Amino acid sequence: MKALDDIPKHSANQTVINWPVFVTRLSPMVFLTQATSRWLLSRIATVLAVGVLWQVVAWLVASPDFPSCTAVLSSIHFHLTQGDMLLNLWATLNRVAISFVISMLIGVVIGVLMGSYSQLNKLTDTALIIALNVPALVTILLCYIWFGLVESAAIAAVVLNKIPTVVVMIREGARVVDRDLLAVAKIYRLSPSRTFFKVFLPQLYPFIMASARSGLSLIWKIVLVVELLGRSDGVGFALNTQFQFFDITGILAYTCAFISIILCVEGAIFRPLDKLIARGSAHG
Amino acid sequence: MAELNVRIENKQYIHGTNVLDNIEFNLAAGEFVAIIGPSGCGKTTLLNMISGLEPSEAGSIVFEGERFYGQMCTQIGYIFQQPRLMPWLTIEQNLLLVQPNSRPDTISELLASVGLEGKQDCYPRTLSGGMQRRVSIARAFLINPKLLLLDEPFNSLDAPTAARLRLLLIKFCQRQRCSVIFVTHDLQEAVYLADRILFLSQPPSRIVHQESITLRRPRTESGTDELSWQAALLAKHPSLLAGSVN
Repeated sequence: MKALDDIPKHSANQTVINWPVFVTRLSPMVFLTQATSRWLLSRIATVLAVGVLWQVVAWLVASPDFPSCTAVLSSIHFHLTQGDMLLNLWATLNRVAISFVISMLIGVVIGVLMGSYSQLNKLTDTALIIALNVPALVTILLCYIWFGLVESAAIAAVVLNKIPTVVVMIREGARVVDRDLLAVAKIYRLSPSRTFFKVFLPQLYPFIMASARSGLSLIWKIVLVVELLGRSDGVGFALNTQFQFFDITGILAYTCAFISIILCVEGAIFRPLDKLIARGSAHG
Repeated sequence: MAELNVRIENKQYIHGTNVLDNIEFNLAAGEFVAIIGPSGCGKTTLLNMISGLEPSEAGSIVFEGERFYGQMCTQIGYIFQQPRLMPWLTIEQNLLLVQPNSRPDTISELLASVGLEGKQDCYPRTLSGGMQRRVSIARAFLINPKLLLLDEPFNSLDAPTAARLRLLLIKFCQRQRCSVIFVTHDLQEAVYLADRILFLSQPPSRIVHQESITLRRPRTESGTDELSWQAALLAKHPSLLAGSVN
């Protein structure tokens, strides 16, 4: 608390704060490094710039089909305080998280196996190409028909859509794993698990991260379709409701709210992971 | 009894090229043997077969009376042409990877002995090429190897760094008394380091000659005795190094 005590006080009733000093001293207290603060400021600046641009374009267009940024913000506030936005966001986020974890786990395992064993790759390559090209909508409809309009069918539909893209990315990573480093593991008689976790898997981290990033963006879009077609809660369901009333402001409000959550996930989870993975590399 | 007995009837690459043909030699306990041969004659392949990285379909590799296939049953150190450190691990973690039970003071002492004190927490990319080689030497000696294989480990290093690393290698080998097989294309380096030199022919490679080095230690890299010994060898066998030594 010394940092706060150092802020000069002119009198008991009137406190004059030196803002640059205050912010500099406050940053370490909320665990923000200088680089993170810079990154956060650049993100906020971008969002503000987009907001201003949006506002100007909406003012120029002056059409009810193109609501202004402030109108959308008001709608978010309304839905948060008087609607079901929080519940719907939570439901969608839950589905995204569960589908993401399952598809990443299965996809990484299959991708590693296919990348490591050429015979297995030859056997399953055609199936993978087919899986990659089955339309997401078909998978969703089939899951709902086969398993009914239940939560597990919704999750299964999303997972089945995502797994092939994870597999492709991880397979390519497993193919280019540095065999020279694996030779070191063999020479020094590392156990199979130690070889996998300390030598093999770290080489896949960039591929896993790329796959996770693209996966998250893909999964939440598929989840919305799944919700729109067969669930009674979630952002997809809410968007469908807004669409029934041609409420463009409401549609944009839900979209912006969910994108904000994804940006938070990026900042709170993916960025620190990126830094962890990049340690020791030239850009680390 | 010889500590290591290598007998390879032949070795073919996947595309059918016959690279090694009837190679047979012994390595006594604590002996330092250098292998010299022209580029592409299969020196690295030979080391890989001895280490178990490559299968030896026809022949046998027996160490301390035990024949092995694919994986060496004993402690073996291998210093590759490139340091092959894990870039995502610190220097200390790279060492602990091969010997997880090492105590921190053991690691510190080892790093100090290779002139890298205080570098435990550095990542390999922050070290120079010579420093990375020193880490790979430290890694090989951390496991107290009974057999040490070196594949042109000082290639592409500047002369003073290479000289320092050779001294370091001699110091470690004398301290740990391990048997060494050292692949090089440099006769001067071989004379400086080894007890015996094996000369390989063009592929399919065979051992065309072997010579024990009777010079007393410590030796100097460009000493009069060493240079005279080389000159005498080349005068006696003028075609021995054709295409193998600059």
